[in-house]
Amino acid sequence: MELHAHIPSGPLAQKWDTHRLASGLISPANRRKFKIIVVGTGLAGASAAATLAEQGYQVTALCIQDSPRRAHSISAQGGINAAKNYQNDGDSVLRLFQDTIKGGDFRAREANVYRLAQISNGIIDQCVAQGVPFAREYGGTLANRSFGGALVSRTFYARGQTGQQLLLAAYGALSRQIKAGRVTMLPRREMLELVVINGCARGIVTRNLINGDLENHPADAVILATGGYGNAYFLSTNAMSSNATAIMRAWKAGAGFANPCFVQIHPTCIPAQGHHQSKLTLMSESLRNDGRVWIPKIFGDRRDPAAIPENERDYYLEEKYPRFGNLVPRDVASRNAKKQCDAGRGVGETGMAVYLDFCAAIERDGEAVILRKYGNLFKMYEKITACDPLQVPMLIAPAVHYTMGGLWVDYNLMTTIPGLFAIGECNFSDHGANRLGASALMQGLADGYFIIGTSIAHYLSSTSLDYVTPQHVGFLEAQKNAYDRTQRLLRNNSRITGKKATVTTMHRELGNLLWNHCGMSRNRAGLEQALAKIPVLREAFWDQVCVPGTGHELNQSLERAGRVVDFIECAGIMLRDALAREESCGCHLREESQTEEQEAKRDDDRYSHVSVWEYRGDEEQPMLHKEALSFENINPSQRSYT
Amino acid sequence: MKTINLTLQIWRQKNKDAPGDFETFTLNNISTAMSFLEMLDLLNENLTLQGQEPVAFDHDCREGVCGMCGAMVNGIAHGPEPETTLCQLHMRHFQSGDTLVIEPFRSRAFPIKRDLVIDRSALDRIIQAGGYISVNTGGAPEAGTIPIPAKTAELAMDAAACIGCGACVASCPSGAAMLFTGAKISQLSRLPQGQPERKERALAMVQAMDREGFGNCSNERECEAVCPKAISIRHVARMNREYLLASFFGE
Amino acid sequence: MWFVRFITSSIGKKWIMAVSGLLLLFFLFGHIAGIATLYLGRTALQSYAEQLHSHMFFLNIFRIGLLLLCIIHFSTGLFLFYQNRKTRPIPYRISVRVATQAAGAIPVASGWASLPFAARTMPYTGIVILTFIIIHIFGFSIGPQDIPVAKTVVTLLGNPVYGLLYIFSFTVLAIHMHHGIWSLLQTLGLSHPRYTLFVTRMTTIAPVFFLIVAGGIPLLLICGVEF
Repeated sequence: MELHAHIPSGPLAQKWDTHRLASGLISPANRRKFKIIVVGTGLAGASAAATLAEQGYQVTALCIQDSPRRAHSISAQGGINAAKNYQNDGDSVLRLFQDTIKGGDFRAREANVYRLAQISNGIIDQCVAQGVPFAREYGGTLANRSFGGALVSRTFYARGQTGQQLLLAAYGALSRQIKAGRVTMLPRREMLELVVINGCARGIVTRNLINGDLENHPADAVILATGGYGNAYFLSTNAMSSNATAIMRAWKAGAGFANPCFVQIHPTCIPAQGHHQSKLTLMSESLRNDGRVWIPKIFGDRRDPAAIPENERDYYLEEKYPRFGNLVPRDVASRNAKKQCDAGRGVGETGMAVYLDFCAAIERDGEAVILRKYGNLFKMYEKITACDPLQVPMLIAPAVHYTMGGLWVDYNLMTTIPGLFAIGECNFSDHGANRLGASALMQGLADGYFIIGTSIAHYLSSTSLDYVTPQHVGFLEAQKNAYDRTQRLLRNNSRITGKKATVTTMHRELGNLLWNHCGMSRNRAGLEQALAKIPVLREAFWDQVCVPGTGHELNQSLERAGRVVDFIECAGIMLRDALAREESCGCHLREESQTEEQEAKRDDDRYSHVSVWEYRGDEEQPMLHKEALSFENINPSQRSYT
Repeated sequence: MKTINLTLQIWRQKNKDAPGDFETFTLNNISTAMSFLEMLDLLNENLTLQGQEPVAFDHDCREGVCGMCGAMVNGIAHGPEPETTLCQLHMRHFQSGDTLVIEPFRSRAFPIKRDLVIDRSALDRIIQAGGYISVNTGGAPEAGTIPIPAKTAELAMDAAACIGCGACVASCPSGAAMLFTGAKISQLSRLPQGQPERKERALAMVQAMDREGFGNCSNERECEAVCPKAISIRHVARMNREYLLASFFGE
Repeated sequence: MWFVRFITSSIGKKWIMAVSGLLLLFFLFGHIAGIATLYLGRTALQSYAEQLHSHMFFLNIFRIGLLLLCIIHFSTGLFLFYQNRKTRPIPYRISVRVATQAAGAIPVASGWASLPFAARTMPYTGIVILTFIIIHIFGFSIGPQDIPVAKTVVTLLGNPVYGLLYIFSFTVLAIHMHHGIWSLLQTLGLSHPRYTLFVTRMTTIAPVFFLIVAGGIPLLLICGVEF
């Protein structure tokens, strides 16, 4: 596997322009001859499908839900960053670039991140034109809020539903192209195979989730926008159907998997309530703007929070990080919360949470102002926990939220398989080892609206592709693989295995393994132990799990079984990658690599690179490749938020 | 942790064409901290372990915003709690010994695919008819060009909060989709960006809505009462106005 | 043609209901005003009737128009009723109505509305009203020609059976109008928060006013009051 990042030469600020000029084009009249598949219709997928169709390509878009509007981008609450500097507080493209690189702990490419910052402003323009009802000041100008990890207010928002509004706008753009006949929309499809012919990605095989049909979709290029693999942890803030299957299929077909161990743990989630918990709900971290994090100073203090006087409260973030206070980056907030809980100082029924208190903010601004900012979040919290945050401090706990790792892509967002592109959360490109708040929406839309078009035109204009039909031997083989895998999953359908195992129990077991050993804080012994358990788990899965029903019908057990098998495999690479990266960096702390103050210690000499894993067969161990990172425009400094 | 026991009567239907009927289950030891869907998860786990086929139901984000989940619980879309999707409905709202009748959202325009899983693509087609502002990527003016009063943005946001779950249709005595359609027309008609296509949009979306076989609103307000996002029927009034103006004074 | 496309659309059909309902409301207002002259004495009513009947040509045009309006309102309503029933081929095992509160009493999202009871019974109150109209027309307009109108009115409405039917029908009409007025404003898109309270009050005040004025006549007659 060779890793050519294809980063254009020249000064940072001109790279994107240089690149666009150097990229090939396809004449508008000719574009309709090319067929592009977009898998996934979240922010990245929907915006890419719409944009490519507008440009004239024949697009087929697929999604796993019943409608493209349901993708999990819809759950993003807080906002979207852009370097507009409307607040006149010193923001600029360069500053957004610097913040993002620093936030990512110097594990992202300079060129990609700079391009992202450049494009950010255009995204806001685009979304406003699409009718996104962003929050406004009374004079009618766009409002901004600040967000964790940044010292400027550059986040645009639509109440607590920014992701929803941006997604619905992209869905609108996509709908317009569906109506125009330029996008064929296929909902309720799951990608089961990637088809590579003559070294190029030429299509996919999907399962129709309603009737179980395996369908071949040939194309000239395939774009994966399938999101992250956070659900490997069983409990995460991801949607129930978010999965790693497309990534794993691409990986097995030859795409590199970059930085699989970079997983972001979000500090402000509603804590799990018990064994039955199926997913975790995030409370936007914008809450930390006005909420204060604390725990009782007295060990084992079980008093009602209101009964604990001010001087017996430990505002540990404000004390430890006076400059950022409660607005430290996500990993710092998460790690500190977990540290307190692990030390037995956590609160709530399970002792695995800390307080997020709005008392001071309400006193300062009044209930009305706080409700206007966070009303829907408070309502959501109250619905789940039956507690009113206006009266009682919120209970929050860290939870898996976002995977910075993903398919390795070059500057064109193309994976190591020519013709296979990865956009949005499913690639690794822009967030390094940690993502800043409100940057996921920015990246998804930057990739989809503004970058992928250039890449597709360049790829198609510089590659000669033969015509392939759905009956091509490559498709027939892929379809057979998909069929065999389905049959294998169903082999236990007629008998109860005797062991009390279902897809869920297996998934939960895998999740616990990862959460305990591959979470915010990791060490060699734990990782090795977890890695050794993966084959055992896989064995147990095939042996014990009963999947009822058949493959020729709507079968949700079958769907989930297939995804969990892939999560098990994904977990294997994540653990391997975590093991290989013997430094603390970004979102995770490697216990062997700490400063004297027990803070994360990055090791630029040995790990200033992207780890890219290559699949070499089921029997072989995956192989590690490294893409060295160089920083010419910003000096890698140890992060310091104290 | 408090637990309850329930009797569940759930609509079972193998596929679109098969006849359906209710099946009764008893489910014990349901934690009151569970969400409704986690309760169904528990039921499905038990069914799987007993060698039976689990109940198919749609769900995704489980945060009340994707709009994928939904069923009638004892005759009310998304269950008895106001402004709550099924995934956000918690079992503490039920008493031990209760019988819950769980049915799919029913409408001629929403064919049942299996058990509680329905096909809501009719709503997508309404949006496709014009529920957007036609702006190509890259063709947008600077975001701050047109100031929009904060109040206007808020009102547009009220309408834009629709999650497209279809509860309004499911609970409408007339089977109408006017709250869904009205919300989108209302959102875009309030914003300056939505003005150029305002009339065409109203005509096209209402036409698409009628084509899908939805009913005619009878102003009974059931839709807003069950809407998980509390979208007001004022948006229906606004749609009516938009449509009248477009019909009588359109180009 | 745009108008055909309009009136065959869902909103168009509602618009027909709203506009015909509004015109019927105007008629009712005039009709009640005429009848109310009885409160001034039998001669006042008689002279009003004679005055009216002296313009037979216009009166007949008016009558035909009114008949058409009734037919349109009723048949469109019937059509909508059946069309809406078809939208849910399999009914729910349990069907619960959730919209329970009247305006202002509870924070319904819109904060304005009519009583749900009135909304749900529109087709049925409509049928009652239609039946009443037929009886009413046969009783008065196509009644005996040689007896003065005022006498017919007093005789018929003084009859306890007929009088009570009259009161009952006007009660039903008031319920129908209560939702009808609100509903037609909603259908015509006339909804603004500023006028919510006014409109909400009018949807109750107007029908009750009609009920008192029209229902008062048979009530007083039955009680033995002479006009």
